[in-house]
Amino acid sequence: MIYEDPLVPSTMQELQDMMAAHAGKFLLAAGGTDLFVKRRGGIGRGVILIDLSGIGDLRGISVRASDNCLEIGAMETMTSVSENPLVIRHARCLAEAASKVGSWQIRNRATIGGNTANASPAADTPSALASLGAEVILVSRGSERRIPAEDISKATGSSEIAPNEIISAFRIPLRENSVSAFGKIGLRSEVSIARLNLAVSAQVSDVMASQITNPRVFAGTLGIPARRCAIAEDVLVQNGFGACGEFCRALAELVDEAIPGRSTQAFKRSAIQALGEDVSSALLSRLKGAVM
Amino acid sequence: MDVHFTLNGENMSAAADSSTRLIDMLREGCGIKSVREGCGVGECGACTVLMNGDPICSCVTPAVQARGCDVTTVEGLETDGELDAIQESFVTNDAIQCGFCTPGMILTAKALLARNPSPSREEIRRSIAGNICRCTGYIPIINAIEAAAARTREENTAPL
Amino acid sequence: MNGFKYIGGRLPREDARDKARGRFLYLADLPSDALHGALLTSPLAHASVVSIDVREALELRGVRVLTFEDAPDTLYNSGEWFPGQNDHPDETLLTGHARHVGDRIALILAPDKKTAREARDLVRVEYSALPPSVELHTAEDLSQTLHCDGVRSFPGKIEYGCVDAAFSAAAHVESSTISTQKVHHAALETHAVLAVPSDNGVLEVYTPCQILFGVQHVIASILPLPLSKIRVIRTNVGGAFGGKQEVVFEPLCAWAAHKLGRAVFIDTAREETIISTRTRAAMTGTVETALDDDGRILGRRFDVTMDAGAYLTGSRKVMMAMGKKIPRLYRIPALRYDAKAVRTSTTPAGACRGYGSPQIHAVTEIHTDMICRALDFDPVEFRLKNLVHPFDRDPTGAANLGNARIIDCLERGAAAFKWAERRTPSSSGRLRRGAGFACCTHGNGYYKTIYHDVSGMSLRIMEDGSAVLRGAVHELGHAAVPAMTLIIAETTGISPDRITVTEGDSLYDKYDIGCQASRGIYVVGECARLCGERAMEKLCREAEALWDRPVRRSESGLIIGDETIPIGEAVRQIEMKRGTSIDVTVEHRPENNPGSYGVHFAQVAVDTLSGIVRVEKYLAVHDVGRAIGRNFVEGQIYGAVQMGIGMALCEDLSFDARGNPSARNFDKYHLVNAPDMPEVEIILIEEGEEGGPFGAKSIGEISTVPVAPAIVNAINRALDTELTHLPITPAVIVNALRKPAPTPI
Repeated sequence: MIYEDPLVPSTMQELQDMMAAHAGKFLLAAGGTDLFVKRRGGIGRGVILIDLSGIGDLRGISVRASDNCLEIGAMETMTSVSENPLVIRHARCLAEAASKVGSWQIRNRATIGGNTANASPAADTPSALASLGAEVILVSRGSERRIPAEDISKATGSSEIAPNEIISAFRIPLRENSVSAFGKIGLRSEVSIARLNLAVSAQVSDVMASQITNPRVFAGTLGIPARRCAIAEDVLVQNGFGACGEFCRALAELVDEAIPGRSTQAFKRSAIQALGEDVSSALLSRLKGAVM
Repeated sequence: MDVHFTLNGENMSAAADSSTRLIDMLREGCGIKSVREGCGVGECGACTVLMNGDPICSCVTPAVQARGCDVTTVEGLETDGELDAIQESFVTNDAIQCGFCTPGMILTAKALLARNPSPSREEIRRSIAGNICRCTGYIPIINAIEAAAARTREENTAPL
Repeated sequence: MNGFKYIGGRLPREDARDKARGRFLYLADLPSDALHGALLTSPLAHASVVSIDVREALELRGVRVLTFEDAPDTLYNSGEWFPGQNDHPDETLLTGHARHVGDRIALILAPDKKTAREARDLVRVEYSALPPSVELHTAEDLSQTLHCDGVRSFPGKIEYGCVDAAFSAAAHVESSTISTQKVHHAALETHAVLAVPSDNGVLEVYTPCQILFGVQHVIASILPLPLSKIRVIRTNVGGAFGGKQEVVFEPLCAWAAHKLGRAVFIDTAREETIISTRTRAAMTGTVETALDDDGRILGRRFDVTMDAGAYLTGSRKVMMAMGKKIPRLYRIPALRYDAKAVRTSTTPAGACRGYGSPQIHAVTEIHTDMICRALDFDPVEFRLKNLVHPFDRDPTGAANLGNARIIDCLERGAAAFKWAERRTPSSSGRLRRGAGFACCTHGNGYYKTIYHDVSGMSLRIMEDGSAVLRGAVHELGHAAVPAMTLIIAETTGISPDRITVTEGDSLYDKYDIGCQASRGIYVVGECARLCGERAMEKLCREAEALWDRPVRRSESGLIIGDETIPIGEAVRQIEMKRGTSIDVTVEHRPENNPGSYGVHFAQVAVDTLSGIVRVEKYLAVHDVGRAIGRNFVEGQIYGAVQMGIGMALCEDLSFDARGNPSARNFDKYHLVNAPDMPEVEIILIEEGEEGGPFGAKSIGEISTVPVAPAIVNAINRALDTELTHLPITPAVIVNALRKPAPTPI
């Protein structure tokens, strides 16, 4: 066996043909940032690298008026997601999550599709995508299906994605008067695997946020990439963003439910309250901008 | 396969298979030794190169992804043997001790100043967060980037 | 301003331009047709190899495999750097009895790195697991499962004065137990070594090492070669921090090259450098202090256990170095230091910047703050009452403390840091702020220790008035070479850009103990200064004899009568007409080993919910005698603070119950990066130290010594906690502040 040449498809059709022809023998390279880390020994003989970077259809960030959504191509990098004005406007927490991924060097390569496909429990963007109610578009030869980002991130190891499927894009519904925020705690203030992250999105009725609808609260790194916190959402509906103490207590309960008995439980139930405070205060300060 | 790309402004072609990382192709295929492996997992930044102007870790980038790209290493910053303002600034501000992190650090700084000619110290800190230095405590490096920015601004505003 | 032309100024480093251009090459950058060696290391903490099957690996083109069965079973100690030191030998080149994750089982060689690593993955090793030993308190009982040498532990003791009397007379006795963790050196250049069989039966060993004659000694103790046939050549070093002080892969590489008659190159990845080389030694220590009513120290007792890891290495030396620091910071009338080094199935410890000093100062300085809190003393006042004074004697009989300016450091620092204002903790929201500081001392060589200390160099002033200083200098990035250059420039008047300083090559260089024990300036630098002085003396003497007129020195050369003759011309005339060159050799033995001193102050803000600590303000004050190059001294301090913050807050190579390391790379082993590094202010106390070049003494190691205790003291003051087990991670802080989660009903 020899070291195989990499394959460089430029269209989705070519990609799907290659995946079919080399089923079981290929690895997909999106940004590559996790690829060589996961395989420290390198990519061995007989394995074919399929490079996704040449496929234009996997790129692009645009508002699709017909579907009332923001569509983000799977190969968009963390840098482009975090700096894109449309993402900042319609999916602020995702822009923030992308800006907190690794270092500048890593953000320049790591892709939003790769972050979801790898489904690491410590990934930064899954909780943001889940809180925004994003849909993941999965493409395989001759078919396409959409599943909620929330469902993909319910388990580690991307078990929701079939071997012949590829994430092509994410669709984030545009909701009126919506506001969102993301927070992360790592061991360093920059470039750190998340010990904990939190993403919240909601719709508000007015500047005072007297009514909050459709809140979606997701925490990352509690065993799975994104874990929903229904109690915290109830607190937001009932009391708004001002009831920070109750909101934080609800988040602490989520930690106790999610990782009972783990050595990190005590730390995380405290730290998530710091995130709760930070995210609440970011949301409050953003209300003005959110309400037209 | 042969990967065709631009290296420090010149057309280049080098062999890469599925297992080849950009750092391997640059060091072994192109003789570029300033790109060094400090960790191999994209955490230390010693292997930083600019790809189309963006700093990336060449130790976690598949070589094949450089095709058609413009790759810059620290060798590409000199013009006719004259050092770039950032290189000079690193030399004069004591930003270099053992020197292992230096090429990567300089390239990240170069990319920062190309985007932001007047970065604050906090912005500089954040931009080099992925470049680890064990020798300098970063302080002289931050000074050097600040000084290079100031010098470049002065030169650009100086009357002709 | 200080009366010197160069000393105390800011000199750019000669190698900086090449480094900025990417042209400064490290060992792995050099072209070589050597066989590449990949290490096969143990995945288990403690196991014996039942079988090793190399057949598949050998099927790859050009692959050779050397296993523990091929290697000599000669025992050696990697921390021994001179014949006869008799450090307990318990390590072999390769082993079938793996004693830690990462222990060396076999070396797989191939024409290229990729094939070598691939072949390594094809070697099938069957292990039989043995019980790991990771806890310090059970290590002695398990010692003979690890090593069959009958040694349970390696004790050491330092005692003087009437300790028991001091404690029975005490008005107060305070006690603390403090532990420090294993730390990875994290030089950005990973470990590498190249061995080349050369002409005349000489084996050349190229290594980015700190002690080339130590490398030579250990290799000679294993291979059937005399010292004269082992040539160790120091290559450019990408950082060391003590991690390249002990030999690690050099003997294995040398043996493989000698055995195969081929050049062999071992280049390691970060994972191997983390788990298969050396670490800062972890330790736990209990200290008790007896005090009188006024807060004067009457006596101290220590009970320290050090984790040597899988092999003893230099850990016992580190442990004794710890104890020797104790009577050199505070006046302690009676001391008992009881310590032992134990072996565990973890990565071996060894030298690491400060050589035990950061550990012992973590113990004493955190404890000293605890005393102050318990007895309501101000920490500055308490220390001022007890700190040593200039020229105090060392009560153990070791070298005089010299011009020990720790009191100046503390007084100047406390004023500059505004300690009186910052000492009171404050709160805002969930943040709490507090300040702390720590004092420290460190040495300057080996004078009056059990080790000898000598440095040899020669200086030749050339026919054009330039100069070459030949010595076994080890430039690690810390500016050893430019410091020597400045010293020669100052003594000779030759401009720094016309001076070349050679670096270590054991074949050509005079003997030097190496880059260890903070001797680089006080001993090696003084040797350089003496070379400069003697060369100029000879030049003047010969000129007087040649011209038969009185000779004086001036900036531009020699003033002979009323004529000024450039140095180069004088040298030419002297060589031609008197048949002698201006080439002098000096072998310098220091006549003291004074203390260097320092105090670091830190202010921290602690997030009481997330436990995240931000170091907001930092001041380092150091008694350096005199700065040779001000920028070099500052550079050492900045880097040392980065390393010390890591030790205080985040760097930790720990091992679980099965002996598995907590980190194998920088994704889990977090070094402080730029956003978390505070600005650092520096005050230098320059009162001169006799015996050092122009009054200079050490800075490189001591600058990292007080960092961790200063930060821990600041955290403890901010939070009113008594955290004593490093590192103080967010989880440690959260757990200290919060009760465990209530059990659900």
